[in-house]
Amino acid sequence: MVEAEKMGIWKKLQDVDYRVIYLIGLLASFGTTLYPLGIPITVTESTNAFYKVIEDMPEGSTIILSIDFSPYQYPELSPGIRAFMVHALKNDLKVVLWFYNNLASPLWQNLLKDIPIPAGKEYGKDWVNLGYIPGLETAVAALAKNIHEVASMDYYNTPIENIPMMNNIKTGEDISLYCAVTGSVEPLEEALRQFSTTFKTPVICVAASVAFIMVSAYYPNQVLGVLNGVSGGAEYELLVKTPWKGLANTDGLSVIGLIILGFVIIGNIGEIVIKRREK
Amino acid sequence: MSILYRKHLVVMVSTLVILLMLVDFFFTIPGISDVVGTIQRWGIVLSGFALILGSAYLARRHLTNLFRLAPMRGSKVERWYSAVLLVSMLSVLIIGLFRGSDSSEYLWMFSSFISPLQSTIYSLSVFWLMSASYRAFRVRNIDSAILLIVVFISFLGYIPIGAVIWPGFPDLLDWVFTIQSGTSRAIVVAAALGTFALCLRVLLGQEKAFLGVEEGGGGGE
Repeated sequence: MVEAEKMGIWKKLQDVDYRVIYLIGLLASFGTTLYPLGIPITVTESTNAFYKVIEDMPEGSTIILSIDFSPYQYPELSPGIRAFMVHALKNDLKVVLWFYNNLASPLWQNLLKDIPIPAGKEYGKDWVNLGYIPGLETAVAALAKNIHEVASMDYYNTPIENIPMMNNIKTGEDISLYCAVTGSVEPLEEALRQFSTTFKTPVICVAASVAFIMVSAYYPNQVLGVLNGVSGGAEYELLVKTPWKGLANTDGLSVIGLIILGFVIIGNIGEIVIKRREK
Repeated sequence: MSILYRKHLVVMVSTLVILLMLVDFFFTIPGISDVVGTIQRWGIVLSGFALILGSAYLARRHLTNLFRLAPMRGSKVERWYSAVLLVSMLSVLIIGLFRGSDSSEYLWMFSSFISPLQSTIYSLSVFWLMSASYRAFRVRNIDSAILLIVVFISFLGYIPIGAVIWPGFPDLLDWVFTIQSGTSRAIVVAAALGTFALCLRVLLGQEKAFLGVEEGGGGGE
């Protein structure tokens, strides 16, 4: 009788309504957002390497920031981009950014409101937005060859010759570092082919977690540092001392991760118990 | 011009462009560099036109849906969907063209509709993942047991609480990535070799799939 009852519990757990599982997930994500647990985070090697590359750049160096993300990747990649901008501008580095896909440009405008631009830094002198350039690898190759011919105007329709910062930035030779922000490995590979191979430009990457698996094939030899999704973004926020959504989201990441692992364990134990009892 | 000559012309142009790109990649010859630069800019312009073409095709497809005379199964609902798509497309297009893509109206449309819709669809995958991990991730043989162990290491190495549970998890994850990046490199090298072989076939006029000619048929040459 007791045996049958025990088996009944496992059987019930096996057949639990999917809505109960969804509700647990929902409560966990809401709970951690409303009441952060403050779980300490460890900075990984690839994030440290990313940070060190920026730290070691001489003042006045130019970095290309190529942004390829869509709204669904925004929560994952925006903490890394924001911290990168803060870090680069604080260290007196110049940033030339362009968008690899057409959805990235309005997302950037959204993110820009949340970037604490250091005092004395201004658009046109410290960073320039070239806007969306279609053409994928052709665009990367053309930018490496001649930035002024590909982007004759910036995102705000200002002729590129009228932007003081761009006077000395014309080809891939004038670029000291290429930072690819991406949800897939292709934009990174294109940067490696067109900038790293041709001009020996060092490359770093802010990658979505799904892309990290393929991106890591190039780390640490071709790609000198990588931020792995929201977790990498949070670690970088910690290093740059600019806490934002990356650090705020890591608690949710931990709790949801534990719940998924818990479900896998319960599901497997349940199946083993039922099979044994049936035998 | 016969179809045969037209195809030869496309092969010749492709071969010429590939040769120019290759020469420019390895050597710096001013004349060739300028030509390649111009071709690359044409490529960017063509990509822009591809977007217009894609939008036009989408509009035509949904206009056909909307004004289809003969009713089909489920066509009433489909008509509504097409109408919604066309109205949304036109609104974004008109605001983008007349107010600019950095205007507050355009950004409002983007952050109020496109962004939350895409984010919602993507976020739902977490719930599906939770449900699937509970129902489907079962250890039935050695292979699935290994997979499960790697999943545990990856999860606990990636999520911050993993290091709190045991500080060795991030290092274990690094070890997994070291092994995995070796296999990824093998895939990358294999893909590069494949691309090289394909490029060589195009260069020699052997590859005709991009012309719409199937291997062993149609083309015949």
